[in-house]
Amino acid sequence: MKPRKLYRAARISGWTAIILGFGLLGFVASIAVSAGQITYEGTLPTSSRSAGPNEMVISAVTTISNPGIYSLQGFRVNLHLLTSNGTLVAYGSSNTTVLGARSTSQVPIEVLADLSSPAAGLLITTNATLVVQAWVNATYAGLFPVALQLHEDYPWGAPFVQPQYAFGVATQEANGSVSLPISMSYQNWFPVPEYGTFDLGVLSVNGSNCGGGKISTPFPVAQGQAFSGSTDLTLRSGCDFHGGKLQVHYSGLLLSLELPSVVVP
Amino acid sequence: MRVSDQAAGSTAAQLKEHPWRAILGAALLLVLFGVIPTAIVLYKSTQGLSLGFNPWVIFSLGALVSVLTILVWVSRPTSAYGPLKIVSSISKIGIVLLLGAIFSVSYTFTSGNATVTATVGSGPIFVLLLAAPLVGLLSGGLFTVLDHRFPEFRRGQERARQ
Repeated sequence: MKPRKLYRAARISGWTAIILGFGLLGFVASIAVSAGQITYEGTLPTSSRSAGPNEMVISAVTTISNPGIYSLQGFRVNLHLLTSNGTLVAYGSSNTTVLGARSTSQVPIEVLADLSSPAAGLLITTNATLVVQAWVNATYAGLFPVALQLHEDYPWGAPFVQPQYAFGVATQEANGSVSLPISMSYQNWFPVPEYGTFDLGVLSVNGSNCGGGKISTPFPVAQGQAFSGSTDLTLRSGCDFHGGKLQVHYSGLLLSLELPSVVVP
Repeated sequence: MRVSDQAAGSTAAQLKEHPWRAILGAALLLVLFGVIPTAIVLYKSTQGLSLGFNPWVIFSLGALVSVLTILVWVSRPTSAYGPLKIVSSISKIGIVLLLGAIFSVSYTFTSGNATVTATVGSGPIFVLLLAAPLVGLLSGGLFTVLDHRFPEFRRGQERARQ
């Protein structure tokens, strides 16, 4: 190679290295500034539905705003709900989302709670402070892997707080069956209004089915509202229900679950 | 090191006349690559930022980059320019690879009632950052070959440019 060409190539590559170096540093700085503008907000729950017996799916929404100039790829939220002593009561995740530059997106998350587990079962009738743990994974500007870990106390409002049952005096019906008046009451602290039907079943001391009845909520019971209703349970004649168990199954718009059983006096 | 041209209005001559230029240049580079990044990291560490390594590593690496850059600049009129540029580029490649291996920034902050920890790890950006020192390495190699094969050519060219 002629010296002039060699000299020119050396100079051009030297200047290219300098321009590239400062350009890349500027690029990294712009990524840092742009990423600092991202905001993230979670709302839990927005609704819920029954996924099966004693399973509840709580829907949440994460609103993420990316006003920066680079896109956020592979955005995925994993969420755990734990009791204060660390027992897992619900879990879920979002789909993987791509969030473009200068855009805002609502990412839905579905959280499944298995209410048949002892820890989660308490949440049917007891308000509690739960711990939300969320993990967010994403790649910013296609170059920086980002992981977010969120830890937040979440006040859980139970759907059937302080369920109380009052039994009346059993009377013999003309057809031979026994009528047992019962009234029930509770408060709904669940954030989503709920209405449905309680199936009440009475088991004798030795476990045989004595009969039962239904109580329906004629209107959606909103958060903070109390409900009370009554019915006459129709029981088999000769079935010894005193000291037996009252089993309560609720089936409603959003929830389908077993409430804790109580002893029939 | 063979100094072939020190009295041709070149960098070395300027240095003899104005040695404070090198000192000022070194100080500016040290501020740019060492002091400012370290100050930002130390300030942010009081607000929840934590690195996967000691923040003073940044200052040390910044100081190393500054010294190498000044050495390359000072050696420009000599035949050591190309080899020093190679050494400087290889050092910068090493620094980028080292930072790529140990880089992990976590930042803890509160948002409403939530405590949020954001962690940024090393990724493809560090491969991209290798581009500049790699091109610098090429430049150093070309200057080394040029000075070896045509010892006086570059000095003549740079004298003519001034």
